[in-house]
Amino acid sequence: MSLHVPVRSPSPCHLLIPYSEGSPLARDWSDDQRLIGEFQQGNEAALESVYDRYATLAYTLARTILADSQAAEDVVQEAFLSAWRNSERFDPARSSLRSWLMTIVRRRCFDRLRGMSVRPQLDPEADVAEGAGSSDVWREVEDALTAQHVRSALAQLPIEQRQTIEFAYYGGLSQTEIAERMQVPLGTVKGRIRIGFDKLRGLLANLELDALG
Amino acid sequence: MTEHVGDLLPEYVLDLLDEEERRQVEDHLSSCADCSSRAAETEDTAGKLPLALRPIDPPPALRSRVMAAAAQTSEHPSRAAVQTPPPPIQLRPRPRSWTGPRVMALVAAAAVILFVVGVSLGRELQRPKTSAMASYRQLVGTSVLHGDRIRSFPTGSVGAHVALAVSPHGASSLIVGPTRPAGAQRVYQLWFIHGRRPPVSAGIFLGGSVAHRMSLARSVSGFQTAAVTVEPGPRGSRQPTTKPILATSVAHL
Repeated sequence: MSLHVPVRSPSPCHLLIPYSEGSPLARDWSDDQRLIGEFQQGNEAALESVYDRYATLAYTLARTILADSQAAEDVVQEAFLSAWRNSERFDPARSSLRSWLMTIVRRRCFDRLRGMSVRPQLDPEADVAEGAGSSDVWREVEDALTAQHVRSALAQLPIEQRQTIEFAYYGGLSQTEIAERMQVPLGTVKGRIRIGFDKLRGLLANLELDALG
Repeated sequence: MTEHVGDLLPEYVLDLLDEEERRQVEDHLSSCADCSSRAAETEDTAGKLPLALRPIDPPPALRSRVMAAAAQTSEHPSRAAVQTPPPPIQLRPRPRSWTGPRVMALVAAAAVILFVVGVSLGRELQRPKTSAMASYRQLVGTSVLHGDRIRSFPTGSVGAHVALAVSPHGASSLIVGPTRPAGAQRVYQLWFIHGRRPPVSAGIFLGGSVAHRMSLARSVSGFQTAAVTVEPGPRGSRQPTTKPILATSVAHL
């Protein structure tokens, strides 16, 4: 899919996403399966729980892509309501609830950017507010470990693979646009995404994030 | 079975494939358990990426808005629990001192100000006869001219036109425009919320087609969120018994 996002000046060596060294975002809990069942049955309390679990992650992702707090709020609201109304489309065998929700949020962000003819902003440091709040100390510890693993896995990727993935995931750029921005052939971009993602998948597979939630 | 699509899965989950490629991948996934399983892993990998970002909490009011919208569309809306109603907080009608020819001058000035805050007065000002909506906007406009800070609620599915006003001296008022009536034996109840603490009742009001302004006995200062629920009339409830139909952030009001 080509998103036709305007290309910014090439900066092949610039690291796009400065990841957090502080509070993490992981919000996976052990009763996700029960929650999913109730969510799909139209239980409002389940929607409330799903929101409480994933709203910070969804909002963070939307803010990172859109760099606009009001637009991010709109997208998050639309995304949760869309998920709520279309929960029968969610297939637990195919993805986690978190991944499904983040896919919805991400696509709505890019839909919004396309509609506004605005380029994605890739500077989440510029407008970062407070960290995720949690009253559960044990969950904070668990979250910290999870996020640390994800950051560690990303750090193990060669910078050009990581950057290519970030351009695609947070920037919504097509592979052609990424190739232009990074000044490399299209085949190189495809290779970096495939190899980089395979490495990530292997590294993260050992984390058993879903076993935590 | 078509050729395995493992190499295309990262591009697939990142929405990087064109329509033809995407269709080919989805056709294959529908008949290949191995690739389907690997697609799930790849999608999950993508879904974990934002976990590493520095977290940013959404504003508390967003939660209320999501739940209010869900309650309006759900086929199983929550049912109100009957509680002992508290004594009502009196909402005193505030005298309107801005009348006569001066109104038109003020409204014209207010139109400029309201344009800045996103409220268009243009069409209303051209109407020879003042409608309820124009009266509402006039009330908001004069409030702005008084130096009040204004926070409008989203109109929501009830078509409500409600705004909170805080005077330079800290007095809080509610400006109510044309709003669908709350229903038989029902009232709208305004709540102020701070974090996870129980909502605090700030008063009750009725819908209708007459715009009016009421002084609130409680100041919105120090609260993060204002919300409106429909409660049993005529005295409202001690705590909300239904999901909010309106909500807005008042943290910086």
